[in-house]
Amino acid sequence: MSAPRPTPEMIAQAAHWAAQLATDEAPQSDHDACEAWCRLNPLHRLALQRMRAFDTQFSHTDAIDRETIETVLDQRSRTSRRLGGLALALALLAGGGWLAAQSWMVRGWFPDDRTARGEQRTLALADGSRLTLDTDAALDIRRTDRQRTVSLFRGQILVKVARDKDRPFVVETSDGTATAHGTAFVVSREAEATTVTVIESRVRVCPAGSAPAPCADLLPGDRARMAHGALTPLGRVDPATAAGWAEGWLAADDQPVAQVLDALNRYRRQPVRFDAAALSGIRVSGSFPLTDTDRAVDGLARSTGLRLSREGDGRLRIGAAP
Amino acid sequence: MAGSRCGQGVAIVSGVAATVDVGRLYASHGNWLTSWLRRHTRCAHRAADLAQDTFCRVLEAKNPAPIHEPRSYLSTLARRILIDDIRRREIERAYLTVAAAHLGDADHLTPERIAEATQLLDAILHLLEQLPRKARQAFTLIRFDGLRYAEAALRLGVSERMVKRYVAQAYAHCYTLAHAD
Repeated sequence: MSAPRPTPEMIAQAAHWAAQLATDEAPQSDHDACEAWCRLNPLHRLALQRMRAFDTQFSHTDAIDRETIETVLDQRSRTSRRLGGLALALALLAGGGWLAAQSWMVRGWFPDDRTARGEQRTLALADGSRLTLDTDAALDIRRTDRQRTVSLFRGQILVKVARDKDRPFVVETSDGTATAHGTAFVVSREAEATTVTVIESRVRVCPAGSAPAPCADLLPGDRARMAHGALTPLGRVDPATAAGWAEGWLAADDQPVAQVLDALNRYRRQPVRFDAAALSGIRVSGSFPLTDTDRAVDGLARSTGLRLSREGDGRLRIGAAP
Repeated sequence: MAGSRCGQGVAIVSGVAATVDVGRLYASHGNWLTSWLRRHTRCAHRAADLAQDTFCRVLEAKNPAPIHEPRSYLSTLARRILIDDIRRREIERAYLTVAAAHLGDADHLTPERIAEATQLLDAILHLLEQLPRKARQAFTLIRFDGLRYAEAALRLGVSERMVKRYVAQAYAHCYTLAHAD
């Protein structure tokens, strides 16, 4: 029997907080936000306390100790260049794969670009490509002579690639890569999986992992999911509407209403409350505006005959009419 | 070397004896291990010390399982202990050199103080040395030197956000090493 342990995601977030609060310049609001996070789950607090324990250990050092640390690190980095094998063996002992996953998550907390909940933004890149970030997305952009790379940490993006045959355009997530020379496609990273949808031309997807499935080429309308090294085709979609969100519209085609509400809630700071079980069996079709989700929810209620009400705390609730 | 010679070992022997008979292991392979270590250290004294540490480690093993290849088992343990010993001696030497430069001489440092510092530094180095260089630099600037993010960013020639990312990476890395199991 083992006690519950902080998940890698909690550890990454605790590391983010420890870094955020590492200097005396952090505003009170950061301390408060960190405290709020710790209150959500005892494991959050445990992970952060462990980070703080390192601080305590480090604070026991004096100037002599610190200079010794520098000296030894210096010596070792010189010898390790000669003895690469030892360093490699140590890295294997520490579990390289897990460290790599950690580094992905940590990078995601300080991304180059991000959107807030409910925000959508289009970035024009220097090479003429355009990236549209959907709600609550985070990514890094890098460009070298050989490759253009977007590291997507979370959320959804629409990529319109400017053609450049010498520099493939790669979107990478911790689940794998999607590579194109010139095309339009959507990559979405959420809930431990990455979904790639092709709108135009062709995209090569390559899952990542210790024993990943082979790469595959996707054509317009193809959609596939990458997770834990596996590649799963998700059937065909209409390429014309696959990126409707980037135009500010959520399109539903005979979909369960709870699923549409979940999608709308991703854009809302205050989610609409609903009882998914009570709404099962109710389906909806239509286009709903993402720029004004109050209006979208209102439209959804009208077209389904559901009742929209405001609760004591001012939050919206949707449910069957009494 | 720290002074502890696994004093509690004797008490444990009876409990482990069912699966690993350390007494018999020592009788049959003790000399062989000591000479193996002498070959690797070129010092009879140290070899004897490290051989004793190795048998202590056998006694302290959390999940004693029957040992099929005693000599390969012992030499694997001894190799690890030897590496730890080399690392600690390296730290001790560096510490004495730095202390001498700071204090004029290192004569008034007690053996206990040196052992204590070596142990603390060994633990810290263990956490820091596998970090990528930039992450380590960022972390020591913020954590040890007490710089603010803007100052550290200037020093490292990267953005403030990047420094924060390095520092978070260092924390996550320390956590992973310290709480691996």
